[in-house]
Amino acid sequence: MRIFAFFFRAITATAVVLGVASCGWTSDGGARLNELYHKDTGKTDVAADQGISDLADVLDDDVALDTPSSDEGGFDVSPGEVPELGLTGLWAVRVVQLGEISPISDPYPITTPDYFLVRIEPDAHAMDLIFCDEIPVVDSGDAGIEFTTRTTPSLRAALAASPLEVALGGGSMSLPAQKLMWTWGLKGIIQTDPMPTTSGDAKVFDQDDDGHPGVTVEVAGLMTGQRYMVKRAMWDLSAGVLSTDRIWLSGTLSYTLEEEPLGADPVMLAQKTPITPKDGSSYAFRRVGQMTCESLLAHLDDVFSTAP
Amino acid sequence: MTKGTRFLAATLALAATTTTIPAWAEGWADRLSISGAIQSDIRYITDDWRGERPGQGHEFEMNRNDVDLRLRADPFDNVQAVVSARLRFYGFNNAASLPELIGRNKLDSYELQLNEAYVAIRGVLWSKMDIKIGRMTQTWGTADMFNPTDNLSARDFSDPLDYAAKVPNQMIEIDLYPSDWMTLQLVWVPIFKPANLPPSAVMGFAMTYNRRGEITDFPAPPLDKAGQTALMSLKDKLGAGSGNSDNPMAGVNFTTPEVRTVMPKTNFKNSQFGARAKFKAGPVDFSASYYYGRFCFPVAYTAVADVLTQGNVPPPSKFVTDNEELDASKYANVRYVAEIIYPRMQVVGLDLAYSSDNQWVPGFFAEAALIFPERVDFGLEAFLDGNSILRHKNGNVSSTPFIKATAGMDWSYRDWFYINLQYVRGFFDEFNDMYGLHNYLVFATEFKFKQNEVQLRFAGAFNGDDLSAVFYPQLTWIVAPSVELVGGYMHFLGETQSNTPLDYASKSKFGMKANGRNVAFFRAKVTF
Repeated sequence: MRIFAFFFRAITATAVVLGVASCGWTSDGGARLNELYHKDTGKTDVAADQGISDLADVLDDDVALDTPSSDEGGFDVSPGEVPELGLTGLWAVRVVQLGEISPISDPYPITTPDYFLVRIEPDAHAMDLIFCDEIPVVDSGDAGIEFTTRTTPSLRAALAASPLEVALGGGSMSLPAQKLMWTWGLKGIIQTDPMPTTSGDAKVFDQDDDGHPGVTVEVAGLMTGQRYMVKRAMWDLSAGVLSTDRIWLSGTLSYTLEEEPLGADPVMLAQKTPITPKDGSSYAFRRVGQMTCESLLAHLDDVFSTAP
Repeated sequence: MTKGTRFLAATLALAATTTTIPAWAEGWADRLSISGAIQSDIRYITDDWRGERPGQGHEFEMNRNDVDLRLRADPFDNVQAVVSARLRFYGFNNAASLPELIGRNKLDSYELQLNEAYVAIRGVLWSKMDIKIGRMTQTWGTADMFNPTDNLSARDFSDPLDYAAKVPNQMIEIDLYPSDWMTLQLVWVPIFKPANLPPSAVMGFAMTYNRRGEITDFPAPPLDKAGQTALMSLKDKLGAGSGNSDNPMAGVNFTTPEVRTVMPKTNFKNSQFGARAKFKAGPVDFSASYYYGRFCFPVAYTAVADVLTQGNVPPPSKFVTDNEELDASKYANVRYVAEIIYPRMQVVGLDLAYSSDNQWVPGFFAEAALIFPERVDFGLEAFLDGNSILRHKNGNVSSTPFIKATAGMDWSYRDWFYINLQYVRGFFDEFNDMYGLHNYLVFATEFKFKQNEVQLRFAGAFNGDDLSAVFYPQLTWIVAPSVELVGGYMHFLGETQSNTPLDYASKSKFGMKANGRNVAFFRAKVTF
């Protein structure tokens, strides 16, 4: 009987040891896809850039497609009914451009987010981004030194009236990688044209219809006033990656930004302050239900706080 | 003698003559025994609806000849060495070009299988301990064929009519006999080997075609409702784009799906281990067992659909664009790449068998396995023109333990009637994934006439969940002792294609094409 008892003790011990060792055995197909197709293939660098190295981190166990809670920060950002496939619906968009600017002598980091709304129709080959606002933030590192630039209501209305067209893939199925040109106060200009430097240039027009050349932005800081200017931004968007819950469509971008002051009040504000792009710029589309530019701008943190 | 048989003979001779000749050369002939069989098997496909495309069938499926040889050597009283090999000729010409007709390999293709090669030593270390090392198979459990506790040796379903076959593997077996009524067994299998699947297994991932050769559907992955809806949307999208209202899928070129296996590393952690204690108490045999290893049948792990629509610049991927089957005339090209995995598991098993001396009392047996599985989440992704448009994950195998079980009885009346009935929960290949565990009634009856010269056997299995079935009648004529002629038929009943093709669980167990074709067969066998 001793061998009998020994044998059963051995089986029990082995089972316990191996059982403990095997706790939490999981083969995660989602993580496997990430490992295979979202790291080095070049197809979906965006996902890797965003640190989505393990899909399990961003998925619920069994309900990956569940709609997220609508109660975030007290503001209803519920997307409503989310289509099972494709991008159809209303989206709030943020394009964040990181760079450096030297308004006096030292370079300061500048973050320039542009906010849009866009409604993607079924089977569309393009979408129109409706401008809501641009709110640049310069980090001078000194609370006493502030540089702010703000759009005027007439500029926002004028830009919203000229939506930015963005191509879609497969009939509203995807956002392919693409290059975009977005201009303020310019017409008939292409990417390779030199930027106009005078208000008399035929490519300059009073887009915000305020009697000043180009567009007018309000500047505050060491000096406060208005700058009349034109602007050309070139965005090179990566392909958009749709999150597993289909709420977020996101990617990276590289960009160039050219601004030419055409005048200012006071005139000292008409100095040229180039922005040098830095790595890390990105864009994020958030699927939303009901939203206007006003409600978006009033709840930016609520809408984009969980952006990829 | 062909090249193959010469090779086989040389192999057996080598095995018989090396290493041990000096010690037992004298009287060696008494210490060697050779047995074997020669078998010829021809099969004909009787249906034309279970193939890849409707209309395919009514042709020979197999024309096979086997030569089985088993050499057993007992060089010493406590040592036994066994080599068993099979030379298998397939009987079909595979020469497709003039140069291939010059040699015999393509014209007369064959393979050599080594099914056993082990040495067994009795009374090693202890008089009541045996050790067996080498290439062999294990069969555990008391039920008939459907043994949920039998996991050490993978099944060999390469021949759908021989469902008792196993895949041999290298292992170490230790048997202890502490008393007359108890046997203890320990087995270690260093390297995991998966099951050998039938040729029809690829149909489990095949496209569905209509008689015009147009694709009507694609293989269903194990998706939950949300995933199915998303995949259906993608299918509708492609179909709408193709502009063919009769069969929207006709405008889409689905290249042959590729299924990759994700095999475990060959490290110690992935080896298999089993322990079993067998007891005998009067008319009852029972055993308790434990197994650590992997399930030998695969479960779905990932799937990727890569779609390239007409007029778009091929994305810099290695998916659809690298495929030779790319058809630029189609609205869309789709390549489907899936992965399967062998989940880890621990199994605690119990089984018993009762046999009575009373001829009117049937024998009973029951076997149950409590399986602690590895959780497997299924991942699906779809790319459209290089952009990810769908990412989805859902559970395929839950980590919740589950039970596979078999219970049944067998009874024979004198020597001319035999019946075997079994209830089976969980077929060989079922692992409580999204397909679930099904319930089966398995039966076999046998009538023997003319002093067993003629045997009529009728076997089959019925799935109580989807009402599909397989029937397997056969007639055996023992022409002379050890010489038999067998004719029979295997027929599957059930829908080949589900009405809800994207519902993984809706597949008919025996109806689905992955089971194989309906075949009539004739076999001649001589054993010696």
